[in-house]
Amino acid sequence: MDSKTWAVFVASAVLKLSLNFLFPSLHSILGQHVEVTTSMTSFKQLKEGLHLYEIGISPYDGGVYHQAPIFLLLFKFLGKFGSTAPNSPTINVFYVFTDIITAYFLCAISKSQSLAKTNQLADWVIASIYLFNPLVVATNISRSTAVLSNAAMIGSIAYACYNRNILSVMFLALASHTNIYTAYLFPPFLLLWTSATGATMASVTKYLIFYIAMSAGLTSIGYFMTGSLQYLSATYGSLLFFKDLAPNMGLWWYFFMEMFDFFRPLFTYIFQLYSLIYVLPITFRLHNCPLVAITCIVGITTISKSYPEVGDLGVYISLLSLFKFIFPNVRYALLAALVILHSLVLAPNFYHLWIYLGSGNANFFYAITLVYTIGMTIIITDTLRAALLIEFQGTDNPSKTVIQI
Amino acid sequence: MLPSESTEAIVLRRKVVLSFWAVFVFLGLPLWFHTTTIHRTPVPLSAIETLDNELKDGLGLSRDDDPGLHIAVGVKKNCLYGITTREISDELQRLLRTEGTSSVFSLDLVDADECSGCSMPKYTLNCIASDRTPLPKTISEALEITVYIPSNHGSKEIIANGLYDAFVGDFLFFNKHDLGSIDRAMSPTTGILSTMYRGATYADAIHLSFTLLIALGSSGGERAIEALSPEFQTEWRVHAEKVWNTLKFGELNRYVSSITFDTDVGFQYMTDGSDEWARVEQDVSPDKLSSLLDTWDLQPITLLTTSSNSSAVKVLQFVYFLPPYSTNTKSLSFTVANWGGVVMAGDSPDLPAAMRTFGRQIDKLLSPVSFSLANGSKSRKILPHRHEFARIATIMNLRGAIETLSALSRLVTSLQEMAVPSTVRDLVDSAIKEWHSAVVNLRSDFDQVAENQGLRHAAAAAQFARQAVFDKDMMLNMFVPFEHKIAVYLPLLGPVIVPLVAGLRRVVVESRKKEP
Repeated sequence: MDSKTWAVFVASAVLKLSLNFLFPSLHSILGQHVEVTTSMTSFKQLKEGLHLYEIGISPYDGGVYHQAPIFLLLFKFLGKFGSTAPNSPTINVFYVFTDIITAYFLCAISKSQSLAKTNQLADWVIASIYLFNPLVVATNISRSTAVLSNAAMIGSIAYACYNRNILSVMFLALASHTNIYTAYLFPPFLLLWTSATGATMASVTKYLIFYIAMSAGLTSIGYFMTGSLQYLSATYGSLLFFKDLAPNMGLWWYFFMEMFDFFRPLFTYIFQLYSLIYVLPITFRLHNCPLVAITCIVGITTISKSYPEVGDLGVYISLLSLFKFIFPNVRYALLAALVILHSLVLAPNFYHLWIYLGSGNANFFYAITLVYTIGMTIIITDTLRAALLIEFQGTDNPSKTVIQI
Repeated sequence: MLPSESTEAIVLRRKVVLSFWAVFVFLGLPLWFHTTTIHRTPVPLSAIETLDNELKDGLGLSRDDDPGLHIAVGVKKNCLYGITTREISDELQRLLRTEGTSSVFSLDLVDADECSGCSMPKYTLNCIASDRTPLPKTISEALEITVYIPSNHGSKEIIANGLYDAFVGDFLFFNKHDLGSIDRAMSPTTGILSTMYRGATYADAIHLSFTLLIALGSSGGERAIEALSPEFQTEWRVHAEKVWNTLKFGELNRYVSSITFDTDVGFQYMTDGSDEWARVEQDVSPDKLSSLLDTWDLQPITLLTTSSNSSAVKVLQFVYFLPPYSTNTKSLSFTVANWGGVVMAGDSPDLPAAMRTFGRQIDKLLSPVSFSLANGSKSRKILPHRHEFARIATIMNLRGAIETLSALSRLVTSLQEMAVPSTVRDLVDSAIKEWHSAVVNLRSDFDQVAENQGLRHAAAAAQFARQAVFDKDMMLNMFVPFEHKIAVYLPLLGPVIVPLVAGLRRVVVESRKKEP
């Protein structure tokens, strides 16, 4: 890691700590924005759950807390070093440290063998793209637990890139435990894990069993903590069946507000299936570049999951920064950037108009989420197309010329 | 010309297409089938259809019967005085129309002496001009309406007013054993009992009399005896305590001591459901009564009262009251509880006011039912008709339940694509069960407790039926016909199915090309 990269780490730490110090209520303001946090990642609800857990009441009774029980253990542990208030020094340092670790993993990925043959951005650029991304900064300051899930996911990718497969499986299991949509990354991860030895039945079975065992272990931690498996309904059940009907940057909430109850199960399954159905085809198609497959699936789940946040876009963009070689073939970067920018600027305004001023309605905010999704879709399809084009042409000195008709 | 695909690319393309289809077929289709299947729980349609017949057969009520106060009264010849039942009926209807009650009440007069082969009405009109009417032997005899007709004053107006007073008016308490005094009071020249409280039906008059007897019996240190079924014992004991406490602390307390108690005896008892009335003798001395009571198998309830010389003797008491004449009168007739009742007698000028107070207190204590008339006129409290009202309300609820369940039956039958949740089946079963319970109770005659229970069951049946028809899940699904479901599915499937089908077609075509 060069000095510039370390400087970026330090600068980001200073930035975040300064923001927390100068604007003590910023975490609360951002924490209330539905674009930045959802009920599945809210720190406020985490505190609520932690309090209930500490006084001996199941945090999953009452429908307030929907996050993984392992967060309760983690923040209870952090509580020994100081207050777990959102703006306390302990939490400040912890979240800054988590983001730096994530950036470190990203830099490590860029230097791995998987991307060795490609032209890469400098480490400090990759780190900056992540650490100074406003979406990531906002997510961090709002104390969303998505920061931790994303860190686990990026860490899993990093370990997989360095053939530290067991650790990679553990981190993936941890990321899946905290965010079930990360489980969709298992097929492309299999490609990563078996890239050195080849994808034999034995190796696939080995990693599958290990992944299931790790997931079961984490699930059992939750069982022993809460005394029952009821928490699965409150955590995964809420995510999968969209139990908490609240506005967010996703496409689900408006549908489920309006539809007849008769169609609710059908739509729930269809929407979840829409995320799932792309996993295998993308894995097959991009079997030569599993990192691109992972990035593509991350992007698809960002727009199709039940409770998306802007931080997911930040992570996706950071993953895209690892593939500098596709940038020249991306055709709609400006369009996508503008669409995303407009949607991110208007979303909080329209939400404010709707909820606080009462001069708008749900259609205002939902229209912007549609625009946001269109922007994301443009990015995903454009980058996928660019990746496929490069695969077809060859990464260096393309031997085939593709003429767009 | 496009470069040909390599084998590897073709295999890869097939894997991609087939993986899409695998998720679609093995996961998507079963989920689609499961989530769009209409679940129809079978509803007992045949049981619903038979309810109407049960109401008709079991209670003799057809759908068109108006469950209003429909009372048939048999008129004996001695009541007619040469007047036809038709004339009396017309006069009665005029009175009912005047009072605005004709839409709710209807009285049919039947010639009691010439009713061969017909079922005798519950009530019989008997007109008397003297006090020599024999005591009733059965409850049905006790339910006779006795109209006192002053000598040579028989007219359709008197009889009609008598009937009107019997069923529509307020409380009326009489003791026929003092008809002599009443006769004098009822003379056109001396006045009519106008401030007396009229018992419209004997059943209610008897019920109230029991209460008053028990209550008043305790005031004089005497004991009242009442042999009733255990339910009635409890009910009347509670009522008696309440009445006595009111009398004791109410305004009437001032006048209690001035009331003359008669030792005339009349009582009823029912053992094992028998409606045989005990014979009553006039002027029975306490000793003789005691020996009489000891020989009968009675289940007495006694109120512990202050002792008196005759406290060991179980007696019933009548209290007589005879207010002075007032010009505000309806008729020269009155109804008499055949076996006895309560009459407040006395010549004190304060007694009318006392009687009014007494009536108000009784009114409040026994919480008479307010009956809103169908013509919208002001509701009036008709305590004597409470069991009739209960029956009417029960029948109306039962009919309402039938109508609602029939509507549900038609709905379920006509809309085959409407989901019928299991909750609807449970509600229908509950409604039918309550319905049958109500009919069983309604069949019992002269049983206030059963009637009240019947009303509760009928109300529950109507409520369950309404809940079944307006079940939220069923109502929501009713408005989603099959074509709407297609309209919902196509936008979901269309954009996905086109590339899938195109990809699959290409795979199939390539496979066929390879086969030869």
